[in-house]
Amino acid sequence: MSGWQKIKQIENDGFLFKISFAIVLRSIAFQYSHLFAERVELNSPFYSFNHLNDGVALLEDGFDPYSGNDFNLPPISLYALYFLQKYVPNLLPTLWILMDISTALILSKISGTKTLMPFLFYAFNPISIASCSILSLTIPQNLLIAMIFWAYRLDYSKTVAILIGFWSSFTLYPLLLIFSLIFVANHKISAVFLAILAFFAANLVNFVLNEWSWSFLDSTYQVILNFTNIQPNVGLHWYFFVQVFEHFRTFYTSAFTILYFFMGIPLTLIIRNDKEMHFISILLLITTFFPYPTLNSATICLALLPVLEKYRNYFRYTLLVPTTLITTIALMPVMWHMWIVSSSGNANFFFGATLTYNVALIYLIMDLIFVYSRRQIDVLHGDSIKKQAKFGYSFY
Amino acid sequence: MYRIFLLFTLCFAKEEYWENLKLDRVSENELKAEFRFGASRENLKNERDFEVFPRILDELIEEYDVKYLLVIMGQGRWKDDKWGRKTQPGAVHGAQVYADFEANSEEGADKKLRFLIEALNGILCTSLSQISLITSPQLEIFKRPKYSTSQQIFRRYGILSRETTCTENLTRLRKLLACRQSGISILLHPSKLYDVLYHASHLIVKKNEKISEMEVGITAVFKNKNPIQGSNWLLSSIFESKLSSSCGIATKSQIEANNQIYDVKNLETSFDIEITSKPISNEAKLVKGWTSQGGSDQQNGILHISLQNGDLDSKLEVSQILPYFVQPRYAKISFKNCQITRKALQTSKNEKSSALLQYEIIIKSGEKCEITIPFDKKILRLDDYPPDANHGMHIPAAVIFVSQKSDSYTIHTNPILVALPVPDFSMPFNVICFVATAFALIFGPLQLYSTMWLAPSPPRSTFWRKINRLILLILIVLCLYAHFMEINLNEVRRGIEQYLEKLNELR
Amino acid sequence: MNFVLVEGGGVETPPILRKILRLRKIALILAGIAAWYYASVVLNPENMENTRISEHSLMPGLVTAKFDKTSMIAQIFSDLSENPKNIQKTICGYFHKWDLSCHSQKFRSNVPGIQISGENVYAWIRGSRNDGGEAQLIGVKIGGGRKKSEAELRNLIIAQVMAFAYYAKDQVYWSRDILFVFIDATSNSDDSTNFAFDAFLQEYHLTHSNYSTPTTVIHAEQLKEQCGLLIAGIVYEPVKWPRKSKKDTRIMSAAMNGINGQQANLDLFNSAAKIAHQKLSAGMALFGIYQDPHSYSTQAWPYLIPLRAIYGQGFVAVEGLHSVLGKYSVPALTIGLDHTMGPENGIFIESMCRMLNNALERLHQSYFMYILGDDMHFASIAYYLPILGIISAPLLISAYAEWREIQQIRLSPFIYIAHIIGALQFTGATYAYANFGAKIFDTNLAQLFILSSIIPFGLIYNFVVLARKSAENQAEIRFTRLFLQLLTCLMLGCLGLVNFGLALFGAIFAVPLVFVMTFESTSRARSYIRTIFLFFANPIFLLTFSAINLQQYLEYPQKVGENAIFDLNLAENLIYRAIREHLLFGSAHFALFCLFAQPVWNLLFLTAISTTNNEIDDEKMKKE
Repeated sequence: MSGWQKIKQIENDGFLFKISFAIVLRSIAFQYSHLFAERVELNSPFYSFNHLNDGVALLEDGFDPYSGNDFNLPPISLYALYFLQKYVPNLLPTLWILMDISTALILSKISGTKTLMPFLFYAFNPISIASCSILSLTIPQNLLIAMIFWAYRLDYSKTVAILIGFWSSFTLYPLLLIFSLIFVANHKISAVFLAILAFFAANLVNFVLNEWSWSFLDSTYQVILNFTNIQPNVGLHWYFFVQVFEHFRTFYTSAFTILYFFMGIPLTLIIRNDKEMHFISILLLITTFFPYPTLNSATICLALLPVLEKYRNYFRYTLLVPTTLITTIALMPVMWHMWIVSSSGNANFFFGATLTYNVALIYLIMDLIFVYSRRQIDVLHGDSIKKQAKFGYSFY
Repeated sequence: MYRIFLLFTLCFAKEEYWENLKLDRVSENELKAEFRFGASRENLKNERDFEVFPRILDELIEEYDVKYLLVIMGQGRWKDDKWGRKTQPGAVHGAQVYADFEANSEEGADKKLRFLIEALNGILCTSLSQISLITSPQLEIFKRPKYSTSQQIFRRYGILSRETTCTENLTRLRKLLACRQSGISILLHPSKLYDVLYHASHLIVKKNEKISEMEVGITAVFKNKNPIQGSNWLLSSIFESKLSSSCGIATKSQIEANNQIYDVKNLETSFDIEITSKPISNEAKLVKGWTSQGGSDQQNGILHISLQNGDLDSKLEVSQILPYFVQPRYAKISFKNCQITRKALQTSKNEKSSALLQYEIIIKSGEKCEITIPFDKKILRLDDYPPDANHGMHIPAAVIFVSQKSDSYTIHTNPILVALPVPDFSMPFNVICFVATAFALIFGPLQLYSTMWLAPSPPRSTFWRKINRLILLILIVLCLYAHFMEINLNEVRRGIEQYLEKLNELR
Repeated sequence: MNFVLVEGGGVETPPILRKILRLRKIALILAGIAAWYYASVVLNPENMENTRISEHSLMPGLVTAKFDKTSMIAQIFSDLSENPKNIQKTICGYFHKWDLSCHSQKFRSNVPGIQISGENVYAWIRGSRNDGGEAQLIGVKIGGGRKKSEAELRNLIIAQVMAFAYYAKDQVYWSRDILFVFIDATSNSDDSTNFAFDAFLQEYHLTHSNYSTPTTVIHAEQLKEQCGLLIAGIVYEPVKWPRKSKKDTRIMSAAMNGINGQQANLDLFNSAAKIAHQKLSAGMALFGIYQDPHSYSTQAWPYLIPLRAIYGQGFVAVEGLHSVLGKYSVPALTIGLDHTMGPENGIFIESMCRMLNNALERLHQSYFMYILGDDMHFASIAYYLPILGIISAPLLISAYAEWREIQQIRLSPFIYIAHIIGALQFTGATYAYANFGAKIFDTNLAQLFILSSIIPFGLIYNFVVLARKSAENQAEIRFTRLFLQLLTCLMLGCLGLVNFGLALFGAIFAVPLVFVMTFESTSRARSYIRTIFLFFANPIFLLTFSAINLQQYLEYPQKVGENAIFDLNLAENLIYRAIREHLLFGSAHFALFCLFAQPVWNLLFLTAISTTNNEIDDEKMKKE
């Protein structure tokens, strides 16, 4: 065997060991899934397997899951799980582990020079292991995101457009990724149309599956646009809409939705040259501002950060953001326990922890925009800066 | 003379009024009293005279096209082991409303019902506006007559567990009776009727093509506070009022006690009897149901309904209302030892609407069926909480309609209190500020970097910034000094004002 | 705003952080002194706030008690003394005679390693005017008693509670049902009694699992009647006389620490103390000590009650039957009643019941985390939590200094290995104890466990894997230091919010240890000496050492352990107790020991034995 093949084999062996270790960890986690199954940080109405199971049970008994307003998942997920449970009920954990490992492998292939870091960040993240053990629906979503990013990096415009449209049909917010489509396919507009077409096609499939009725729109999209489900999760919106008086609810719901969809425009105007940076920033925006997130939504964004290798030295908050994230993630169960179980604290403690978590993610987005601009200065001005030069903001 | 005249007019308008009181000793120290007062009236067109049938109920029937209306208010518990079958219509703590009425459409039916509830509030002095009403339950809840009609019949049932029944309700029910100051209704002494182990008062209004009927009923189980061995009870001492005058216009007015019927329609002297009958031993076991609550935190709980059958094979139709602040985990509902033949579920898209779960169960004699419904407790919006938010909210009792070979009746389990997660009520402004700050944090840099460039800035002296900071520092030191020396800042201000005035004067 | 940009990226550090970093070397001593001084100020009962009843609806419930059934007390007491066997039937006989429902419940444990079984009795007084949704619980132990006098006292308390039931059944004002639970204590062991109560409560709350495993260790009969939301639970027992009490003072006792550091709402204790002071002119003893405000000669050291409170919260997982109620989020107290046949105890029970009867909502107004100085003074969490913060501060400063050096994340695989070893110890020990008991194949389980936990896996990893002193390994070790400091801080912080006592005592030992072991050392000799010291400072040894000496320091009368430094028997007993409490009641002590203390100790070896060539230069701080 030549030297090159030997090195490849050693690298592959090391890799194989890591893959099997990740699989083993997830299998062990399935034994402890009862610890995580009811946790509000890992479950939300859009990603909870228990909710989906409830809908399937209603379907089996002959009732319409969309007649109440408790079931928020589209008919595609409902019928997918219905058939999975009918024919292969015992294979669900295996399927989820397979999806998770595939996500990790895809991430490792797309990140250029450092192949190992995204894999490690995703596969050994305790949040993703815990979410896998409770069969959270963020795992298929993460796989979808990984595939989208892979196709995006390789410039397969049609695949990216279709997948973005398909993903947006589940939760409306990924439509912001349409701004990223401008970077692929040589700035042609047809990709955007393809994405919107895919979105409507997915909705048509939903309509057909739901016995030719549009009753699911209320439960899936109206819930997102009007923030009607105010159960606690790790997002920013639930406590806000618990406290706001009825008079102002429409105002705030429209303000938040409009602000969110508007944010793509300035972001695209700022980040013009680096498409991966643009994609990751928008992905972080989707994660942070989605009304019903879970902790696992952010894992894939954080796992993608090693792709931005060239910005490494410019980050301002390298210690602050990860420590805040870890501290708040560790404090969230404690605060929840203090509020719900022992009553020694009230809802503000949990709200504070989740708010700080989201603010840390927002700082990360802020930092990404900053490092892009900062590196642009280096690229543009280069040698003409002296050491310790003062920079400020100006209009020209 | 006057009485004969009344009887004569009654024959014309075909109205009837009857009253009945049944007294039973259910155990050594406990006595059950069932009052039933009824009136009926033929539906003749253009006949607007009401002699014994309450006019207000006729207006209710006309206005809301009521076919069958049942309102029951209850208090206390019925001891199944000792007292036998619960007198029908059975009550549970709280108020229940059951209505069959005609309407054009669902929305029209809902609107009609809301007004009907408000009208009932007025008639009975209750506060039922918050009642959660379920539409068209598919299985039976109460025994009711069959009727044929051209328009569509809408059925509604609701139960409000926190409604308490009091003497005001009794006063209003008495106002519906034709004989208020005479006859058996004299025995309705308010304070005695509520100091009991079990109390149920109901109002039934029925209408078919020919006749409108109404019935007012009060059931109470008294306990003898000072039991002396071998003593029997006098009617006057139980109710603390003597039956002295009789109700002349009643077609039937009687008291059933001691295994005989006493007719009190034509009463000359005051009437008093002694209850001497022995309690009938209730050997037959009956269907019993009770609800327990499980779970110990405010995130989720368990509703556990136990149904214990007696000696006969029965068919049970169980209806459980789950209010909007509780979400059943439908996939985890489990049954132990139950033979379910039919299931029904009613939900609606309205935010505040309850869900209704109904099961039809065949149960053999002596068996026990257990239904476990796990649920999630929801957090509500700030204004949905009552002032005592930490008290919790009720999940109503389950209603069980029992059909046995010869008999069918309705029993209830008990309501449970769930402790809901509670937000901090003092925080709306703070929360809005914090979340809005988070949104501003993302908006700020986006706006900054999209409208401005990061460019080298010309060197500027920091001299003025240092002067600024020095002034601020001096001000802070002065304020701290004033604080620690407890100088009132208002005095300082006044001193400065006076000094400036003095300067003005000098000039 | 202007930035000062640095070549290659980033911005300059603010000057104040630079100044803090210069204090790094003496941070530990400064923090220790500051924490000591602050604690001595805050934990002094003279500086504490006065207790008050915060819930508005409780005070109107403090009415004149009318309990007068002393003849019934005497009758029941003599009946119980004459028929010591089959006490459950005697009790139910009385309740059935009074027309109240009474049932018994059999239970047993499901794990082969623990053999407990028995029979509880429970009875209900149902108010005829309430909706049955809520209840309050009164608990008493029945049966058992190691000495005859103890058994007599238990019978006395049973008689008084039952006489109260006889009085209460005739009252019409109960807005909540009253549940009487008679807990089987015939086995004379605390564990079994607590297990018996847990068996009842588990069936009451329909929770068929304890916190750590989904399978239940308890197998008990279902309850036969409907159960409501428990608003509070009071357990009555005969008072143990505190030492040094003056004669003629009536003394009662109260205890309220729950499992895993949970504490009952302070309003519950304040109500009990107020009733005792006003109605019975009695004092309340806490943790076995009564501070008589009128007689200074019999007073103990003022810090004794707060320190015993912190110690009890941290190390005593199940203090009494009220702790088991805490597991189900029911506020609970254990009240020690005076040994009298008169109506005073009945008056206390009635006043307590009436006060709770009047509460509109569940108790939520007053504090849930507090330290009691005596029965009239307390310190709330805002005052005593900074002690923990001050002690942990040196670790944060060290962590920040380390980060400025490393600037990159290099996770050592030994972090995972250490935690996996801890997890294996935990699952192995609990599984073995549950299925085989204390002896496996003729060896003592605890001794095996101690052996496995004193093996320094960190040293082995260091010599085997990190044999070469390459730059990569240096970076790994540097990052492990940072990781350990931050992990300790985070865990102590999270723990402090749930169980302050455990966090404080943990911090007193852990923070200096971690600080010293992760401080970079330039001489090999220093590294070796401190590694040897670390070997002897392993968690089991520290635990046993503190158990022996803290008991003495806090003036507990019974002597624990033979030696002043280490006792193997005591260590084994502590381990067995931790495993048992975890299996039976869901206490988190054993889990924290195996999953946090052990891995941190193992990881410290990596950092203790390493030597660096260059120290962190405090002067050249350019990058953040």
